[in-house]
Amino acid sequence: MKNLFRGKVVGATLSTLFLAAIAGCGSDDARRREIAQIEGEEAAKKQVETENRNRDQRAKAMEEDLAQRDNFIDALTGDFVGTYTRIDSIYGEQKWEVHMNLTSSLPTYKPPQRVRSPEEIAVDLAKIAIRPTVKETNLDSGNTFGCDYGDVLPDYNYGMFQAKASSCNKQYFVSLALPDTTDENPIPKDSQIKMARALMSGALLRVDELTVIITSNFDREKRIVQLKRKLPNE
Amino acid sequence: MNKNHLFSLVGLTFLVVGCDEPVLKLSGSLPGKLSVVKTTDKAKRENANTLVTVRGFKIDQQNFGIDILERDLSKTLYAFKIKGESPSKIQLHSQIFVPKGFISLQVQDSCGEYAAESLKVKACLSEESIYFAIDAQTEKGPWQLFVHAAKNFDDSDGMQTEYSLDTLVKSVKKFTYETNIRREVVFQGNQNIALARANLLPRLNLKVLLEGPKALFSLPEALSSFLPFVFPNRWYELDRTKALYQAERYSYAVLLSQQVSTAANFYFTISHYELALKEMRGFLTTLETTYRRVHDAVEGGFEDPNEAAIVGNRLSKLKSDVLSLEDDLRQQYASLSRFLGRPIQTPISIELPSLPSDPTIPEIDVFQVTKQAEEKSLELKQMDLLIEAAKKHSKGVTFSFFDPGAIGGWEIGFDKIPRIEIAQSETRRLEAEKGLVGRVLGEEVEKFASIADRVLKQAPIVKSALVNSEKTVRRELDHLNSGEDFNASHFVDRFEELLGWKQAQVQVALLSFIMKNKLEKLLTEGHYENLLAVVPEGKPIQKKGK
Repeated sequence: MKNLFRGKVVGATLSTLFLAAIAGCGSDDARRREIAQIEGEEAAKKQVETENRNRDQRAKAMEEDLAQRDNFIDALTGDFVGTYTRIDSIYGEQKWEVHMNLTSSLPTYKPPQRVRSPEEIAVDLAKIAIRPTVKETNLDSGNTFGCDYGDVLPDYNYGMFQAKASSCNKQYFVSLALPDTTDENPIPKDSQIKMARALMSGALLRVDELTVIITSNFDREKRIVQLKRKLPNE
Repeated sequence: MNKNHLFSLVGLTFLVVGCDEPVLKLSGSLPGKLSVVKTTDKAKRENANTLVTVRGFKIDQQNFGIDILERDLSKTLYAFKIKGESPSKIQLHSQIFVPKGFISLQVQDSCGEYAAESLKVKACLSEESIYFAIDAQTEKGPWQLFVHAAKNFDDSDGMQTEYSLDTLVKSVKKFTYETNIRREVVFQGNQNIALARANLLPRLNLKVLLEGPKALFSLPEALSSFLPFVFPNRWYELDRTKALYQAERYSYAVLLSQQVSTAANFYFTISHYELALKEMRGFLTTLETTYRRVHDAVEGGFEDPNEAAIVGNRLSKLKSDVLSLEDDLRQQYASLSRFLGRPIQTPISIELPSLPSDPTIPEIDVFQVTKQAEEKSLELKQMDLLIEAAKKHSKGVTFSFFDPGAIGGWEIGFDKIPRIEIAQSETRRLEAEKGLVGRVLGEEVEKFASIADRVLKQAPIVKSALVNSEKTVRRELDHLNSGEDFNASHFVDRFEELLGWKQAQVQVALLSFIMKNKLEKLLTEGHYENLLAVVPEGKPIQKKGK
């Protein structure tokens, strides 16, 4: 039994020496490979760092964009009320009240501690919109009609949006100020553009008055109505 | 002047009065009922207590007004109208129709006067009363009419103003022999007017009204049953044998039976109109609200203008139908008043039956009911007695034979009714007429059974259709109110269907009462029981020449 154990130990020692002799022949190549590997890793690391920095910057820009849009929509959120009068063929002069409720499609955004990925922010950017619901009430008869317009993308630069839906027979062109014309593509005033910028920057936190041009599928007449913010205690 | 002419004249009178002539105006409160007194005795003017020919303030506000029609001693007509826009604003038109034509009152302050040699008229309005007086010299002497209408109506004439079927029948049974002799003509006239009015129903715009959505039932058809009718020219005043006397008694009982039946017909027709109107007014309110909403939706630019036009058109038709039916109802009440011998202008009303939700109608064994009806028929018994009397009479006694089925047409008057001589020579004819009465009786049972069968079968259909129809209309209205797409054509069609089913429900319930009444008549039960006991004994038999 002892002889057998001794024989195995001698065999293993010889094998080790042989392998060491072979390795000693290629040591430069290995070194070069080792250096290349280290250099590659550093480059890659730098690239990743650059990419991350770019990504963070883009995310930051997107967050800022989102925040500006959020500021804009947040300033519009709430209830706006206005009236107009029309002469009814049967019932004479009738007073109508327009009630426009504006909400945001996203809850008010509060940035998290961590930096969100651009993809995450992109989802919010794609989603954020104004949701107008409009009701009109004939104040003489008490009859109310209305429509829900779903998500509407506002024009952030010009401070306007258009509540329009295939299921609704009335359309409401809403702007921060009375445009020069009642055309479908009205030219915004400078004051309106400045106001839109102020809203996005957060310099102006709340809009209290809107101008609405009302059109109907059944009525060629356009109505311009001033809506005022309805405060909670009103 | 016959009745038609009289009505035309009155209509014309009011048409002319409706022009823009000067009027006495009173603004203020003269609400509710007015006590109205009339007398031709100047001395009694202040304390007169006779109720007059005034259709008064109890009628609805749309027709608020008083019509006064009077005839002087020469039977010429005086007519004037006090009409109001509302109970608090009434006007006395200054044009009044008198025998010479229209006269205009000279209006000063709150009175209007006219004075000529043979005619003086004065009319005044005050906060408390309306005063109207005529002093006229007629061919038959001086004649005065004084009408004073004041607040605080005193309904002390003792006459009933609201009738149930029971009280109507009681009133009929109280008709006296003398009044009934005079009433024969009136009775026929009223029966015919009632039938004619019933025939006017199709003039309604919305055909489902009063006909049911698929014309399941016809109340006029159910009400129009009428057995041939035989009666003496003058009751109990002729030579008679015992058989003839008994025949006259049965004849009188048949007359009473027909009068009870006519009263019931009036009751059911008026009930039908009242109930139908009640439903229609409810629907009118709903349709007006709906129209206003659709109209607003159109005006607001939310709906297509055509939608409002469709609803508006249907609304106009319904309004027109309500007015037509109200007019028919007034005519029915007027006919009933005449039938009861009341002044036409004194308002009466009907205590409406409470309609069962599940009407009960017994199944009819035609053979059995026919057999019983033949056994109990007053008409057949009368014919038997007349035949028996005829066999004993060599000299004819004239009876009239009234068979509306045979002569048709409601304009046929009393004089054109065929006559039968109660004499031996006429025995065959009398037997033939008895055969006719028997046949018509059998037909009446058949018709009765057929309608009863239809009502029985259709009642559950109407009930379930009504439930479904109500759901459908509610859904349509929900659509409209929630701002969903509203299809006006679809809505008005469903609405009309519901109206039809509602009317059918009323008809089914009323038909159950009518059928009960008809069965009672055929079997001389209920309201038709013991009519012979109500018949007066008549005058003693007097032989001619004694």
